[in-house]
Amino acid sequence: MSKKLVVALLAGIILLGVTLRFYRLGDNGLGFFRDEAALGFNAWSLLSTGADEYGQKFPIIFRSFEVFFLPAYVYLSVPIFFLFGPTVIAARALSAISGTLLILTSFLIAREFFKSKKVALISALMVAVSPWAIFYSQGAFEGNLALLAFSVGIYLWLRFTNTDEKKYFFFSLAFFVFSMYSYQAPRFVAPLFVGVSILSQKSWWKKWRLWIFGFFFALLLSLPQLSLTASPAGYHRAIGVSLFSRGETPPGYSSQLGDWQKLYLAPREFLSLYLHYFSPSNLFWQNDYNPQRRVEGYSVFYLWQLPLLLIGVWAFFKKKIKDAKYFLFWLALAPIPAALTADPFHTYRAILLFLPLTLLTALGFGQLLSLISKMKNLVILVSLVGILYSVFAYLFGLLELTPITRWRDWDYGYKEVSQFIKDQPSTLRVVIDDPNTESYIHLLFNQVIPISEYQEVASFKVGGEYYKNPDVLRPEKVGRFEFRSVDWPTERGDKETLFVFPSNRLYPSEFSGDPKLNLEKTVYSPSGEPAFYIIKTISKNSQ
Amino acid sequence: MAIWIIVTLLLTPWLWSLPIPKDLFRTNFREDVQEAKMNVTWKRGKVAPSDLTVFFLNWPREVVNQRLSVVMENLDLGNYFFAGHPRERVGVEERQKFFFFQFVLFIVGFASPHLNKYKKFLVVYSGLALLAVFIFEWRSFTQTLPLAVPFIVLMALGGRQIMTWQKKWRILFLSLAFLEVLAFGAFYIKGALR
Repeated sequence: MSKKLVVALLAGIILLGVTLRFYRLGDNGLGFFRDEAALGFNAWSLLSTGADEYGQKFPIIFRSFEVFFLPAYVYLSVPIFFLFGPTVIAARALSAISGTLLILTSFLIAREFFKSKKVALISALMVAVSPWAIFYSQGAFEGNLALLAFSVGIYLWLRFTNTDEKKYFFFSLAFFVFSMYSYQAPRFVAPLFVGVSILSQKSWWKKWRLWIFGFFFALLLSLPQLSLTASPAGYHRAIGVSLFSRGETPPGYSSQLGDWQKLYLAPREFLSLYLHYFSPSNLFWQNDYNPQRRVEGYSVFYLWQLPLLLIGVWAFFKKKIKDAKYFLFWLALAPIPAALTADPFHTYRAILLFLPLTLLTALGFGQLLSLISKMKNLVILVSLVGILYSVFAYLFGLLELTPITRWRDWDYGYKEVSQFIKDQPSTLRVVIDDPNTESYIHLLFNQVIPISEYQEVASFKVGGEYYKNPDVLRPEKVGRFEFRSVDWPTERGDKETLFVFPSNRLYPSEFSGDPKLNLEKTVYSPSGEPAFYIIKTISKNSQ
Repeated sequence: MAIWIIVTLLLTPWLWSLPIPKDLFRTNFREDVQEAKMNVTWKRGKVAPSDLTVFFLNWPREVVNQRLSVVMENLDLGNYFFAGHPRERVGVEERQKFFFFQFVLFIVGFASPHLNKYKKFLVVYSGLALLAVFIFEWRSFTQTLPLAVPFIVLMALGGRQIMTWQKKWRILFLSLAFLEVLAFGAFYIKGALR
């Protein structure tokens, strides 16, 4: 295959990837989830005020609704917000860009691992059309940025082992450390990968100087993050979701048999969770346990990729791949952070796993083409038609069906609610019924609450505990806005108040027919059901 | 090899309750089609009308998907080696079929030099068994028993292979296996007595 042809095909694949990632990026019909709003708003807040929602100047780790999250996505989004302003597109653009660059990275990694331009091109195509890659590029997911950084780190690591040029080693470390500033999973996987990869080299101790320099280099880059390791901001997220920190006993525990059984049951549960990430049922069929990360009718891979994966595994072990061990380390380590949490199949925490699996399906496809070389052109034609159908069917599932069933899981409707509130008099008291008190972030993102006003109250509330205290330290009331659970029977008599209720929190019978209440607006969901009721209590003057 | 198969059979908890498969060859194809048609009508009613809908949302696709979901469920290794895990969300019956140490045997079985002799049988049998799962939608503890065959053969090959390991590794493996059987036995006997 000539170089020109490879470049042209790769450019075509990347263009396809761009289209699939940026198509309806700002309005995919699902809604705009609070975690996305948190990432986006904090970037906008940094740009406008130099501080985050709590008024914290340039934090090392951010916090929103008692969740600490790593800073790379927010800081890198600042220039995008500078260009586009506080829009959904600006919040999601970095993830879409990361997803696009991942196509190129997958090409480079596959070329290094499998030494085949054909397999490298197929890898790029597989990533470009992959359901998991499209899904995570269509939302503001910092894990997607982490995956890109980690993958570039892997590529540079392979360059280092293949050329023995030290610069690649240090660049590789820099990207691994960067991935650790982007998302939690690489904080566990990246150091392990580097450590195991070094120890697996023949006579690794002979290069001890390089490893020591590398260690201090990585340490230096990690210093800001390491300075917070001992504080809740550094460990709370990881510990909070861990399998071993939860209160309940492992499955199969019998209270009559004593605690010794945990020695058997806990590792078994971990292994069970670990295996979940290699289960064809999860990878090709069921998808994530969390409805927010599910696309109707699709899992992380297309079903037709299953036989390709099997062929790929077979080919992987059959061929003598020089860097196979690094591939296996990546594959084996990637699901560990996800398996250490108690959730059955968490595609986001295991995001580092899906690229090596995709590379295996590409290897399988390449192998299939070699096996049936006589009908190669026919197979390519049929495959392209099949892939095209799959992509359209997936987009149909993602953009048409999923909004109908998952709109509530995506916080659908806050944009419309915010717009309505903006059109009301600026003195009107607004109460949002929200037991989780997290809806404030949507009002901040949509410029309903002035940033400075929120920062003032929030910074007073959090005080000097920003990194230290993982408890709820955010205001339920800022100026005329309140975010809390509404006690409707007692509060319905409040004068001159705008109440916003998610439709599952209040029946229409609880407000219709009352002359003192006025249903100002119903925000409808993509399924046609009401998403929000906006009710105004009648003012004193109108009584 | 026969001895290894017998040993594996004896050590398999799946067989301890002497399960007898029922309703193996019964299909509800008409009912499935009816249900799929209703689902499609409901879904089509919700999405914006489009000529493309018919390609992506149709009853044959729904019927195939329903059956494929059962096949996928049976391909989940966790179903065989780990009972008690939260798989209730898909309504999978939670009963341990094999021990975890048998999972190691199963994996080692793939690396056995004797695998070639059984390769054709394993591929053809597994293919036919999965086809039967697709057609007859086997999912219960007893219905899926025919799927145990390839596992047993691979575990037997694995057991045979492990006996060629160095003594220290062999003893370690056997000790862990013994402890697992002991731990499981405590639960099992307790349950049986109850």
